[in-house]
Amino acid sequence: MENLRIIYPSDNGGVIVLIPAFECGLTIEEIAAKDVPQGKPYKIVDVAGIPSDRTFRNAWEYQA
Amino acid sequence: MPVSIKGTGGGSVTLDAGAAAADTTLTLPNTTGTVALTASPTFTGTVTATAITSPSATALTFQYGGTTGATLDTSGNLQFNSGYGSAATAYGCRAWANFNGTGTIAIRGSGGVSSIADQAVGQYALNFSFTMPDANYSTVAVCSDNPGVNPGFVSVIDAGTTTQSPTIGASYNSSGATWLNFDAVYVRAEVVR
Repeated sequence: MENLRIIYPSDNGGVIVLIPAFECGLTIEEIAAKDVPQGKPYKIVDVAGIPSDRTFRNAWEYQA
Repeated sequence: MPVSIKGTGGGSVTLDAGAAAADTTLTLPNTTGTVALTASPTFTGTVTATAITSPSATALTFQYGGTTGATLDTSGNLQFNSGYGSAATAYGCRAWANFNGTGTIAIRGSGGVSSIADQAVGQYALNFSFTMPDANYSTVAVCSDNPGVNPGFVSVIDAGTTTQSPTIGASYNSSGATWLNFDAVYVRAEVVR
């Protein structure tokens, strides 16, 4: 779970990245169900798919 | 069949240890019974119990030498001294996190948190692993870049909810007048209620 992230679109057209806290004892699916706002689409992705260069972080977009 | 042991004046009842190394057990009344202690007898040794129960509407008090050190009151408030001067209600840190807010964001440690939301440059929020009774809690956070580079300033950007802390904004003063959001290497946040 440490290498997984949850992504979903923000209200302003950007993207929110959820970093799971494995200490809580929930699975990644349970965290997504709980922490992604109801009705929002989301994806569980490998951290390797998240850019580590955040220069343009505010311009990131969610792609379905 | 009730059995009473009576004597005159002072006295004692002793359970001798068995010949073999094993627990010595005194079986008291069944689960609905009561052990009546007269006066305030002193127990020595270690008391092991799965629950300490106080009668309803009565606080549970812990004392040393006649002084109250801690109390669990009937509202569930835990009061303790710990150098304060008297036993006063203590409020708990309900959630905390220490994380690296750069790169792909990495949590160093956390409690009461199910995830951290990376919302934008220098903007993060804690998702709680429980539901707060309301959103009137206090959020405290500090941040910094690599030590000695950018001492950060943290602001709370929105109100927060019962399931998510307010957005924590990390920024630094770039030119004496302009504050810029930045991804902080060290972000430490606590939620107290």
